Amino acid sequence: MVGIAMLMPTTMFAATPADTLVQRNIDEVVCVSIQPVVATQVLSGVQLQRLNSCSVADAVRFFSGVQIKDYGGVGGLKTVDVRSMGSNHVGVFIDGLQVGNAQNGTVDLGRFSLDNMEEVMLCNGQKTDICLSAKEYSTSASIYLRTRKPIFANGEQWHTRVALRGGSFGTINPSVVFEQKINNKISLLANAEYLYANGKYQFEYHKKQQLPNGQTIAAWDTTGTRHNDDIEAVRIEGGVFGTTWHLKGYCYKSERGLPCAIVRNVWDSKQRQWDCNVFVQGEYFITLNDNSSVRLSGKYSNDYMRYYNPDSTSLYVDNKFTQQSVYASSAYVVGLKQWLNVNVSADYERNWLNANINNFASPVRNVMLVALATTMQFKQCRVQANVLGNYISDAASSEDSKQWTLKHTPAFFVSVVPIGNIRLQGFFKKMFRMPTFNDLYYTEIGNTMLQPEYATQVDLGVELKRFFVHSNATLTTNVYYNKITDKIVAVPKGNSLYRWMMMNVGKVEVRGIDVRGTMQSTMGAVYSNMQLTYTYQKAQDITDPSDNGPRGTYRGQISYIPKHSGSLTCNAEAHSVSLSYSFVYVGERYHVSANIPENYEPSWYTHDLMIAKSWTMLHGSEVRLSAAVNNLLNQQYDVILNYPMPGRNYKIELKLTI
Amino acid sequence: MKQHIYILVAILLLSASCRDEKDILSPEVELVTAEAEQNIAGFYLLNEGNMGSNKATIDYFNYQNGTYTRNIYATANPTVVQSLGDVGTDLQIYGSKMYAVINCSNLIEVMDAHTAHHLGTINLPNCRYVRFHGKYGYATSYAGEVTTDSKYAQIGYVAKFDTATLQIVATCNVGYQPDELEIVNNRIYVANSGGYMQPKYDNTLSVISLDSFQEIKRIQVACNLFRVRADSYNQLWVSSRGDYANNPSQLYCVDLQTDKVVDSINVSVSSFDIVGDTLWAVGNEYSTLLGQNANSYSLIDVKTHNILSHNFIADDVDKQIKVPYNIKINKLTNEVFLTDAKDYVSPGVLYCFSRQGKLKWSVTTGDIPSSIAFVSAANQNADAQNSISASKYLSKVFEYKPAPGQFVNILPRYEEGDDATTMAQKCTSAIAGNAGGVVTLGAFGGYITFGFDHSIINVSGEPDIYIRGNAFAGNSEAGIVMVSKDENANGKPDDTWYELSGSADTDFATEVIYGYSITYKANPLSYIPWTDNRGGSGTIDRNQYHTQEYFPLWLGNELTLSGTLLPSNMTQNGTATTLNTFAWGYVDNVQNADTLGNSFDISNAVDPITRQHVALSHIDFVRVYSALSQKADGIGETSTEVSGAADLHYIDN
Repeated sequence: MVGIAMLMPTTMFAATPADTLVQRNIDEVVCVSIQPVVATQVLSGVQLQRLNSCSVADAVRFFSGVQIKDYGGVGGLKTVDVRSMGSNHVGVFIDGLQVGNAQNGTVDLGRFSLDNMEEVMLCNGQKTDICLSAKEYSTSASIYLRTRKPIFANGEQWHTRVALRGGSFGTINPSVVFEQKINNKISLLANAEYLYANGKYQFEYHKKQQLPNGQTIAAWDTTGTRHNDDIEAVRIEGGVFGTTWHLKGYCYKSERGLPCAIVRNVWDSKQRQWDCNVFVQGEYFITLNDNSSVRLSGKYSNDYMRYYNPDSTSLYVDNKFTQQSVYASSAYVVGLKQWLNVNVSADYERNWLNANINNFASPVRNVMLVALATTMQFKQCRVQANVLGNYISDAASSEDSKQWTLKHTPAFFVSVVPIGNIRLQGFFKKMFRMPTFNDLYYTEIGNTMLQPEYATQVDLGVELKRFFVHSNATLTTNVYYNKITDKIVAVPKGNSLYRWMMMNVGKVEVRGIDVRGTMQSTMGAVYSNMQLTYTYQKAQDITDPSDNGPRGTYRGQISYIPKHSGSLTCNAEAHSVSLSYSFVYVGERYHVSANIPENYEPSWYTHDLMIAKSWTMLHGSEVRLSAAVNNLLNQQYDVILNYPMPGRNYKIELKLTI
Repeated sequence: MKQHIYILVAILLLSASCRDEKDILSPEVELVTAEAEQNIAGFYLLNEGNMGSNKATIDYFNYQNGTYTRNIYATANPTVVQSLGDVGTDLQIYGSKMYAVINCSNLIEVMDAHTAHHLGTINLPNCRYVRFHGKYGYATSYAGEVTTDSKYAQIGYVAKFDTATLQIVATCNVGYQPDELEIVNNRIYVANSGGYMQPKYDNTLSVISLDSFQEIKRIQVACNLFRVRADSYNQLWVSSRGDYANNPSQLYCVDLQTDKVVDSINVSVSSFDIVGDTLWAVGNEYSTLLGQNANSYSLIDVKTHNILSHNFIADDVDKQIKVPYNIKINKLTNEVFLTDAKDYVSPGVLYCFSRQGKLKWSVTTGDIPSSIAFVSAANQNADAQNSISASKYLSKVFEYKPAPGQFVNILPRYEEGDDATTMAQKCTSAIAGNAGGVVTLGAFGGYITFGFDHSIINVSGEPDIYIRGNAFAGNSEAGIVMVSKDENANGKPDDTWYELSGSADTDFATEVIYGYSITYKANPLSYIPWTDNRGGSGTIDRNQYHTQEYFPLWLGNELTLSGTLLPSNMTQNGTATTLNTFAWGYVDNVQNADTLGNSFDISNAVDPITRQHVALSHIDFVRVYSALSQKADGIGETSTEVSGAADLHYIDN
């Protein structure tokens, strides 16, 4: 975003000066940005810091329309679902390039630390900027993570930041960032982080019984300690940044315990997982002339995963998977008229997956994506329309497992500003997600006959802005309808227990409302801001119309999607002290789409508090100390059935910036 | 704005204290059939629940009144932490105990067969199936010794446990991942699946001598063996799941004389059951050709080994069945019970077919309905029989005047020409002595009057009369007991009646209505209207299960009945109705096995209207009347049923 704005300031965006907005935190980043066609949800800089979150997953909870599946604990899996389409439809992009996972299609957002994160953004549909790679058109919702880039004050040659975090679950989490200016055009950044946690925490289950006389009494109570939830992880990143290009490398290595479902007589598990994720990526902008430019980007990634279950009371497993991918993209944008831009982009990606499993299919996937997009900007109206061509071929060692997919998918976005502070917006998008390697080729489960799973979205929204003397406020409301067809679900297969196979049988219909209000004010020395989100989702399973009895699944709310959810964050700061409060609410849910008492999961909500103070030292260096308590009321809850979440927990951070 | 935030925060903090929490599962009752069956009490059904969900549950079908109750375990055992557990693979009744094998909870849950009350557990890691012989139970487990010589492998074993102490007394190693077992000819035959060894499945039956409890031989059959049952021709039928690739699921026959495989039948089998000469098998095989599962419902003659049918389901119901999972035949009624596990994660369905394959009824179950265990009537009445000798029982029914209801004219059956006298005689045959039949009293006010061949003494501080109903957890159809002394010594119940006070008189003091009176008007084969003495009115509704006339046909066109009206005990949760139990003092309020809960103390006698206490030295007649006036979706009006009574002080010489 920044890059493009710097590259193409003259012709293309000259007509829209009102859209530039300057962020308040000038010391962090001066972000001159072009407003996209439709509004996105953004958490950035200081705001992100004050959420008191550990990982990107924790931060994403504060967006409306988003549900996190969280298995609990520091190392527990956390995946994101946007507007009930399923996590496979959400693309996660780091610094403009997608984090892929051809094996299972989902990205564990719990792995991404907020330590070096500048901005987290959620785009429904897609990003509606102008110069996008074809990949960026190929997901139904996207989360963009933008990491820190070196910025130097006048005369500054280098700076560094050292942080030490610690707290509950035996967490020790030091990190260091070092930035060096080579010359006016080139700078370096290095960042390392270490995380260790024993992961242990107490949890409680309380069950009550309804007595015949209507009274409720305690049935059983139990308290346990979450075991095998430890994690040890190292992340090392480095980058070289030019004015029109950057190149970065990333390495994440971890070992963790995989805690089990807490069921009768089972309190501990022995399952372990090792990961090693490495990638190198780069991006280069070339300005061809006054009204056209090219963005080139590329990535190589190598992901190793070992899953080990030595538990003698269940199936022994020791599987090792390696997947690799190479990716290259070229996007060309040209301003044909003052009001008309055209973007043509072409991407190529190749994925490999290997495993130490007998007769493993060792699949390879080639993906060619070609996108043609136009963006039109008029005085009160903007439009983006694009069509994406998808050419995908798979090959696997088993002979009949070659498959070709040729699909064209459209998207259309529009926004209108009828009067000053009101913006109406809407979009239509039809996109699909490919069956993953696991869906297609995993021994036993895999089904090579699978077709892509489609998500069709229609969205209408209104954004209101209001400016006051000392404050401003926005209110964004979107209503939407999504339909998922050919949904890939696991269905029982053949004569046995727990043999499943993947099939394109599911259908889901989602009707939702997202509301997000923000307010900022400055009164004297006190700056405060507040964000409130609310999400209503009626996400119905319409797979089997014949299963429509009172205990049936037809038109039942799909698994783990609450009808109501929301969040509130408030911060106030004066001088060097800041106080933050955040609240997350997730309403009652059902584990499966048969919405019966057996599958009921009650609502949960957590209150988090943080206080921080900073001191400015000699030569502009700064020390910041913060203390936080999460789940203040020690609520005992499950996000996923039988995976208890931590109760009240604490965090302390000391950060030194030189 | 700040103030607003503080207020908001305060509200949020307050709201946290009243967060909704999860209750243990409550039973849900559904009426599924009109046919009452006297020879068998009912059956339990174990729902496996998907792995990790901890959702194994037990349902109960009551043959006496045709109701199906889901989730009986949690309420029967509210203090068992984490309830029944994770993945229930097998359910068996042996003696007075019921055994549920809970695979992923690594234990066998032992319950009272009549009440499903928790008695104990047997810890057995990765346990699978259980069978019994003599005073021992034998259960298979996957979790034996691990060898890592060339490749990781884990041998399975059979654990022998004492059914009295619930302690494992010995183990015997078998093949890999043993599943079902069968005990025949003083040997245990164990089906070794090798399910964890894929693609190198085990393919043997282990044969264990019961005397030495040592494996004496292996019989090679086919890969991935699963179920094993003996027939009456000294043959053992064994099913193979196949290897899901080149070898399909099949059924094999082993001659027990020679311990050799003598035949293989080309049918797909996920479960089978044998009754007489017929083997009933259901299969569910994935077809690579069709890209979907193909279901089969086969009948095999175990004598001739001929396939009698490839689809024993006579109507189109098989098209509704997604994953036929288990099959069990009721040998007494010849009914075929077939479970559909559907998608493994949402509620399944239990189908009941006649022997001819016609659907009789079906009901939604828990997740992955699997094992069924029948409870015989003798079994259920065992407690009462053991403690009460034959001569203690009620000897004669004097009067039977039911209010309208869905079982009226059926329990007992009205036939053309019957009058009050013959109907009372039919009641006597049904419940006098220890006949064990059931008489319905219909809606509010309907009553039955009976007596004994002697007076019943009021022993101070002790209950005096036991009266049996047909209640089960979550289905209290409370009736009030009245007693009377034969003051004029004419042997007829024409004396002053007193009521035995129950818990509602204090627990619901303001809600109980004394001196309530209701008038029903006949309305042939239609909803029966009623009016009461408090200006209320309503109807007794008809339902699809019972098509006979609901108004007692021998009692004219109008019927006025009176007594004490108990407050409604019905709670509705979605479509599930629970009829909650009163604390004490009512007939048909708690399960029959709860002797104390079905026993009554003459010392509680009161005047029905003034509620003044009356001291009675003894009584000669007992009357029970339906004391609730309510109707529930699906199960209709609430009516007390009576199935016998006994004097608790009678000394048998």
